[in-house]
Amino acid sequence: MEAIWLYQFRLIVIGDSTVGKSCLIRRFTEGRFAQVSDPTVGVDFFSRLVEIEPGKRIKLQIWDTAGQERFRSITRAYYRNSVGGLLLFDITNRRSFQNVHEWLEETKVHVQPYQIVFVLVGHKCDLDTQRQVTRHEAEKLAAAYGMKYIETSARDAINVEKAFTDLTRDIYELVKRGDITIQEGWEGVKSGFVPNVVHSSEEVVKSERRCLC
Amino acid sequence: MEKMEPSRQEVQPAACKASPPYSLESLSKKHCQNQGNLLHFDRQAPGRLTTSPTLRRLRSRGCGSVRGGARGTATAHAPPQHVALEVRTWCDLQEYPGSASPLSNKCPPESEHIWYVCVDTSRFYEHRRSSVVLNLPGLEVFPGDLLVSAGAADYLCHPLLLLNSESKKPRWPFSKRGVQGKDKNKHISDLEDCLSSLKITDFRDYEFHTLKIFMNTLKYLQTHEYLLDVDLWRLFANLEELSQTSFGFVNSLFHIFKDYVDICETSPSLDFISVLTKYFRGSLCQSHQTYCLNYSAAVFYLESLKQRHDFGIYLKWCEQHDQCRRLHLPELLVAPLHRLTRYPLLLKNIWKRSTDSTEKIMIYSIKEKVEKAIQDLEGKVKWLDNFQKFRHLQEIVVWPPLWDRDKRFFIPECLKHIFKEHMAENILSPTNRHLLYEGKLTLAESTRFLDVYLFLFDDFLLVTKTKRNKKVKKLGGSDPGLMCPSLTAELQTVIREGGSCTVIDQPIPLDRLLVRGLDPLHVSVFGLRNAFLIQHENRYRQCIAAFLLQAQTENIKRTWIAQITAAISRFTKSQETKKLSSFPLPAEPSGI
Repeated sequence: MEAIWLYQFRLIVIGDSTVGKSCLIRRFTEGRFAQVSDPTVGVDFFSRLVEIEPGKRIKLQIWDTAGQERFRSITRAYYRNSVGGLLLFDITNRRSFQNVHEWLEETKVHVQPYQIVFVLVGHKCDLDTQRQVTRHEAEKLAAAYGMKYIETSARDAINVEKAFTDLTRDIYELVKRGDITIQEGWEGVKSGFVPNVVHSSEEVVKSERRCLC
Repeated sequence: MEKMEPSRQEVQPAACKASPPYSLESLSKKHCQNQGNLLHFDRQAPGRLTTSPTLRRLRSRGCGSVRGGARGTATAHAPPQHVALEVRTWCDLQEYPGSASPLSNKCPPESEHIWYVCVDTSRFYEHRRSSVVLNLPGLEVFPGDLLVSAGAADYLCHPLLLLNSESKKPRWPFSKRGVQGKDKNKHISDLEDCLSSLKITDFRDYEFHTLKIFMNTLKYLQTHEYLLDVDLWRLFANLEELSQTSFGFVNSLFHIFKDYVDICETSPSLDFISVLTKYFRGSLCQSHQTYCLNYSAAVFYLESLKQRHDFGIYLKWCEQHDQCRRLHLPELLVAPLHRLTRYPLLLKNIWKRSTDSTEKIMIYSIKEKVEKAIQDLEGKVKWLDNFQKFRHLQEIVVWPPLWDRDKRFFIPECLKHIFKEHMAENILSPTNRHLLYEGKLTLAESTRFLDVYLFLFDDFLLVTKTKRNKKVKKLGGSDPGLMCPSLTAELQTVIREGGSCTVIDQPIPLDRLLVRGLDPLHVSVFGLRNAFLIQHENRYRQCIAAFLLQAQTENIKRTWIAQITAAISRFTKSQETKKLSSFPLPAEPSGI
């Protein structure tokens, strides 16, 4: 039976406040752009399926960290349960770019002993006239940390899909190669889900072993 | 930190007004006679809560009329899909003189017991699932609250099971009760049976309802004498209170909007500011703070509990519930934290859209207040982390006396009292210093390699050798749940094994310390890799100690050198400013 998804990856989106984390996630998961962001209370994460190859789907569980930028001592606990992350800065805000280093250091400490794959995202690229960070220097910084760099815009829907799917594909390759493995007690990568097996709560108990694709 | 104190009330099981065969009088009588000889189970009794799709279908075909709650409290607040709910409050009991049941007699009047029981029994009559509503004196049935089997009624008033009174609560590890081998299997299967007799309402979109599923299931199991030694507070802290406060807030807000929509001609203004003020200036932030302060310790405690088979069964049972959306307890525990951090964002949006200038000022000040609360919390969490960490360090760092440190010094027994050192407590006090960096390295001695653990504080470096002690378990080390989550994995292992970190040499003040990375060419001759050298100089700049340290990787080595160098320069700078200014430094704000 074909799995609905092969794996579930958990991603976090981090970066300074007002760089557009929530907007990027909303654009990706709901396909819309809200002029005024409305943080939905009660929604802890967003989900979307991504098809990385025909028939091969990955479920992404994306955790927004909006509002927690200055609240790190207590939120660090869930860094470690992510396999990947989008590290955002705002291309019209130099400061947010300068803080990228700090964000990386912060996460590096807290994801141990697991590893996390980051992509550097220069957000709000539709505002090119107000640009304060050149593409060249962002690419250099990304390369220094072994990350990919991509420029996106949630407003104009530029590269939003690409940012997420590229990251997903990279993680998938690492999982396929065995560099990242599914581990008990770690939420970063989970194995796939096969439909039509589970009907009721009683049966969930019996068929709790999921298909390892 | 104070624990949640339930209101003092006598236990009074609620009556089942709507379903006459279950009147409390008859119930209690039969309860004392014989449990096996209980009432008929009416699966379609209107008062019965159910998650069964079949039953719901039957009801929606018209056999069960919708009943409002007694006092119209909880049901009125509940979304329309929850109408099958029948709420009973203790007020109803006044109408039932016979309610002085043996159940309540079992309980001492001063008991802090808070359960309300609405019974629908069948457990002993037939092996079908049945339910009891455990309710709180807040008079509302909260979604995610449990429907538990009738057998629970017997245990609910047992003084040993008063969950909120620490002193009375038995802490029996299962081993003490002889649960081993065969018994253990039976214990597990009994636990599974117990869980299978439990159902959860399928209400969604409520205040931390998924978390409450976990909490209430655990409570239920504890009333059945399972997992009694699991500390409910350490896992869920003040969740009950937090959930009620949040629910109250959302509810009041919702009602204001609803009233506004319903009767907008008569009340042109939408006065939700008063609700915002009431809750945000009231207990909402405080409740979140209490919860969040416990959060990291809870996650850590959970990790230690996961090793247990019986706890694992409980977790799996809850996690498989639809409402948990394949999420696990660790990630659900974070929900209240997310909630708190989103409040300023929401308030900011309201502020942006508001047109009235006084309203704008009010909203802004509320937003500021919440942000301040979060900032305070961050400060408190850090402080607590640091405090606990130092407490553990005091425990595991051993300072050998002078004569043990260096055999040159001869101190006769009669003189030893002069050298009584109270070093450990003073030197490792959280108020005096901060731990900047730490980790395991290998120390190259002339004849051997030694496993060492280094602590870099903001004013000195401490080199200790780790000693494993697998036989003797220290008291503090026997319960990993008591350990500090901020300790490194290595130190946790040391503690778990009852080991210690023995100080090798005196602390090296940072202004007397030299660090240099060693050229790979130089040291490879001696079979050393990723090595660096630490020198300790005395006041006259003479070297009095040297440590040749080896790191696992080149990266770790570089980090160590960078950390030490940065600490030295910070320390020197702070010394200079101390000398320059005769004024004391201003106190740090709580958030830093």
